[in-house]
Amino acid sequence: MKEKRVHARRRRLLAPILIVFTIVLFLSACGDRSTEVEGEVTIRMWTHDALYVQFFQKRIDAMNASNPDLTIVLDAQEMPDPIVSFVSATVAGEQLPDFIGVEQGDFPILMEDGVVEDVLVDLTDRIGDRFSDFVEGRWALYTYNDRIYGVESALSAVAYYHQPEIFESRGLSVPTTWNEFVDVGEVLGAEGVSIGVADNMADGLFGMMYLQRGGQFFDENGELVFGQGDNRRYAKEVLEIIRSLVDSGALYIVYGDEFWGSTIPTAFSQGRLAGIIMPDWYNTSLLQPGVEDMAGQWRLAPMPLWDDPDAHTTSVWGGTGFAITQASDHQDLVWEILEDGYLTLDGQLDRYATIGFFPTMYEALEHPDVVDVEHEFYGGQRIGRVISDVALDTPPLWQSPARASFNSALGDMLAPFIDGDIDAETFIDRVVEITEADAGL
Amino acid sequence: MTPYGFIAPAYLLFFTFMLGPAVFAIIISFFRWGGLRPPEFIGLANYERILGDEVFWISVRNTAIYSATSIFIVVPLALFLAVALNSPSLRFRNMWRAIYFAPIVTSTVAISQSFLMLFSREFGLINLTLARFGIASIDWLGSRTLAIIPVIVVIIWRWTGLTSIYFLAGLQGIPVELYDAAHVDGAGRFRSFWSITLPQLRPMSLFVSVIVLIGSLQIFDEPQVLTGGGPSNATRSVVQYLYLRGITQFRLGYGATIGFILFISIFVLSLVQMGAFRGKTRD
Repeated sequence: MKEKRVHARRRRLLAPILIVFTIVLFLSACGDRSTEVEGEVTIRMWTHDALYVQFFQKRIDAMNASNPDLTIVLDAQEMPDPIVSFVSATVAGEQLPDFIGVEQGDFPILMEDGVVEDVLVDLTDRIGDRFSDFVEGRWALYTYNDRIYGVESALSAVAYYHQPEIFESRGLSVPTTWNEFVDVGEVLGAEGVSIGVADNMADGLFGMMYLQRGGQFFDENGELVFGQGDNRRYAKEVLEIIRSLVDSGALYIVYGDEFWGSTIPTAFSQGRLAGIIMPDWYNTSLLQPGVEDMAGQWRLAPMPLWDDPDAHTTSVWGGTGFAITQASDHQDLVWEILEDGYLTLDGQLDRYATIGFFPTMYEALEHPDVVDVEHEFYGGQRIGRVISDVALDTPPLWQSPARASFNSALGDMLAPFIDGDIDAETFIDRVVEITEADAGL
Repeated sequence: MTPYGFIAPAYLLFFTFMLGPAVFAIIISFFRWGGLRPPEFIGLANYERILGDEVFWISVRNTAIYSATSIFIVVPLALFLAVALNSPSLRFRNMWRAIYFAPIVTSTVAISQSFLMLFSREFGLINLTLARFGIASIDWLGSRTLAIIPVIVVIIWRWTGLTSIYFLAGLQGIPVELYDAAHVDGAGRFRSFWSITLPQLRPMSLFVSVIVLIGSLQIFDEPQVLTGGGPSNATRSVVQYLYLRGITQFRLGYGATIGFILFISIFVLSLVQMGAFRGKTRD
């Protein structure tokens, strides 16, 4: 009897202990998960752009300040081609980063043979329902077999950066359609001023115009569709516009590396180049650092439109997604960092305020901190409004393992086309031919 | 055993870092391989593709131009410089030698920046000079026709000095008595150069031309830093193409195929060159 009473008393004592234990477990699960890790943790990041280091360092500093038990140390390395280095380091068995900036053009390297499934963490379930809170096309860049492996850093919507004085002093209006762009370009070209820039080695202007027109290089399954059906027509229309602009001297042609150097800023400051069609990231990455002394002389206009309601109002070029590597020992903690910076409204707004990369989250796109901010560099213009107005129409860009070959072929054919050595049909056929010949290598 | 012990490290390094990778490259040239997944055997598909690969043949043409530049411009110019540097009447000889050697110890990045500024369309010294004579700005680096010229200029500037140092070493090994005897016999400077200097330099000329040929067939830095191989592959060398395919695009099998073909080309051309020199020596 005594033994039974002891057991009953133990059970009575055990029950509240179990309840308290369960509640503690539940509360800790609901709280900041970074408390699961304590002490000093070093997180290694590889990126090609110092702006990302600046942003993530700022967010990590805030996380550290809010959690006295945990100190995250960001060990960031800047390098020109993080993905190339990452694959090389993986093959060599060297130390890998915890998370990595994947320039969208490099993601196809990891799509080859499904390598991405072995090296990057599948973020699909972690993103969950929040998928629909963001501009859908930006997920497409890092999607393989319907799974998402990266979170994009910028909307990369395209607009027209220009110097209004060059137009106004000649009694010209800033063009709103591609036909106007050609006409105004011709007038400016006759005076030795270019209305825009084209790179004769990369897919820049051609790619942006083509995607805006409604074309795609690959379909959702990664199959080449460039040159087929409407895509062929779209490509020809774009090439015809470029041909007209080149022939009238309206385009300032630069070769590969010149595009990213001081050549274009020099032409801007000398008044020989009126503007450039580029994505939102161009503002803080290249334009403002390149022509600091021209503050106040710039404005942002929407991309010129096609005479077709089915065409997009803007386009897209570039982007960098951040991905977590499977080699990381701190995948949950890295996800917290990424989630904090990229998947929260506060993070999206802070990213825009800190490094100027436009939000990808719908809620942030209409936030006053984005659309109502007056920018001194643009003479007080609210450039966020210009981008936000077209943001929902940003076209997707579907990826493919064949994209490296395709881009290479496209770049190789641009110079002969611009020089007038091949026509639009040959351009398209050759790009398709080279891309298909490379398949299976 | 002692001699084997002395030569062992060199052979060990040779087998580990030269022969081993070379054999491995030959093997993977028959595979499709991205590096992270197991290689897939595709037989001669890489070789078949390369035969119809237009860019590969453009890169072969460009490399041939770089090699011809090295053999027919750099080598004679270096010989001329070496003879000048070897002249007893030249003052500040060491200073001149140091100056001619400077390009080889200058970093590639510094060289590229200097020459980019020289050939820049917008603010290049060459175009600014031409503008003074009323000549319109030339797009040296963006033109498919002209872009190879800056690369050739850098090759000449960079390698002539080093090559001249080789010749200088050869010139200093020629006995002075030969020139004295020729002088007594009434030979002029040109006659002495033709009948004494050139024949005496033949072994050094063979060494220099083989070294220069091998180096020029493997050219990478100069076109890479100036033009990146563009525009439209107008300046791309074979090694640049190997790098693009093998390293940037991770088509390791295809890259290895290019590397193997390059290896065979260098081997055969070097043999031909050495054969030609030996033939002339026997004559």
